[in-house]
Amino acid sequence: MIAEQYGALCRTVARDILGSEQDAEECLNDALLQIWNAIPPAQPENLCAYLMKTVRNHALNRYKAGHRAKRGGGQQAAALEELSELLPSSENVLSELERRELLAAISRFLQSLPAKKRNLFVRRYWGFTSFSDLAAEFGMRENNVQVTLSHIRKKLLAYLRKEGLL
Amino acid sequence: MNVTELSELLNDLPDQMIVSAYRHSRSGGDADIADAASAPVPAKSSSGQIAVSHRTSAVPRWTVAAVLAACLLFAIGFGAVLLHGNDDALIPQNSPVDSMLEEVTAATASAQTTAAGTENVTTQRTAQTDTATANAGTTQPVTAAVTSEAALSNETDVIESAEETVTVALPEATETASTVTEPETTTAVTSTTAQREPHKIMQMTSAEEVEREGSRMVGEYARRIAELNGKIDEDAPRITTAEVVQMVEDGMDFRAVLERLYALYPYPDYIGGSGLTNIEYWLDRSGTDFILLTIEQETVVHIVYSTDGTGNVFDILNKGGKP
Repeated sequence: MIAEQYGALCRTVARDILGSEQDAEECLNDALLQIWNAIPPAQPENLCAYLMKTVRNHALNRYKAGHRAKRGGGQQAAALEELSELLPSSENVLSELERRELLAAISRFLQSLPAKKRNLFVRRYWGFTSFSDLAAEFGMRENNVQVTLSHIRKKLLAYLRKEGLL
Repeated sequence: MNVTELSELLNDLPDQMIVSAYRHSRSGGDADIADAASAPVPAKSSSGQIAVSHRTSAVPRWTVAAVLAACLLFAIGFGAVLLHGNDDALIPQNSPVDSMLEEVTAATASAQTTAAGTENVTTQRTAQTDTATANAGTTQPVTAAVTSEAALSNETDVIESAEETVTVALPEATETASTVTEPETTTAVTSTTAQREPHKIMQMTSAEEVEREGSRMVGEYARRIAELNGKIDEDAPRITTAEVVQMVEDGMDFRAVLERLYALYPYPDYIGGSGLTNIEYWLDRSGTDFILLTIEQETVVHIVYSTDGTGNVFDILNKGGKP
């Protein structure tokens, strides 16, 4: 039932990150299995978004694992991952608050954008969708997608500076 | 903050924003997002298996329906505006023509549809038609046919569809008028082919008789009534084709021509019509050679009805009229 209702969306998220239908399918099944085991203890407010985020995390982990294997043991990636693992321990309460503020500011900025631009931004930077796929789905030329996203990024940067967050 | 942190940060974007970004190109509607947000958490099946299947992209039918509805409303509204605009533009405020048209409206009220979009067709119309047929037979051969369920009935009917076709045909002279009335007041479509009986009008000797005939013809024989009431002499000057042609050639538009004619000749021979408002200025007492002004179409036409079968002549004098 979950797969029937949200399978296509989740598969799109996984495919955009992994770039392969087969990998996306496997990732989706893994994520669904995790969700199956998590529910009902987990009672997400928005089931669809919960599914998509779970699939995204699975896909990102799978992507990292794949690149680690391809790069001779993944030393570089592993090092970066090690560094990133230090981040939570270094975070204090203030930084966590700053993080929340930053997220809230980004959300406000995105809410102020027209729907099309907002969707473009989310699809690109949350879902890692390729320019060509975005162009096809949004009925734009690939170049236009890139320019539009560039403008959004500049605006976001200016907004965050204005808010004193950068 | 590095890229990884930013990626993790963006993972916590609002749920609805994320779903909307993916749904937008598939179903295109917030309703789907709301549905997804409120979707119940599914219970595990007895088999414990999770089915994986492709979801068919939903077609944004409501969008198509909304666009079609908007186009339809626009078309109807535009038509109504045009009708209003024509009326307002053609009938000047405080113009002498106003009174003429008000009289026409009153005279034709019984034949017009009601504000509720229904039409009351009474036995009076049937009686009038029968009387007219009988009277006409004394002067010249007349064939009158009324195609109307209500006319064939002896009872008062309310036609819900408010659509009626009344046809009265004469061998030697006919005029046709049809229009769609304003949608706010009625949806009736009335088409009338009325017979011309100028000779009979001129032979009538009482104003009441002429008024009855005018009512039957959905109008008023204003000049003849004025003659019989002594307001003007029977030999009072009549309009000439040359006068009208000169007005048009002088660059006067339809409204100006109408006002000038009314100023010079305040009693047209006939004012009325069902659907279209016709104003006739006869060039002689026979009524077969006349200038016809149709307000809704803004046309000035010189018409000569043939009485010997050689064919009628229609000469549109102003070329700027509406089709």
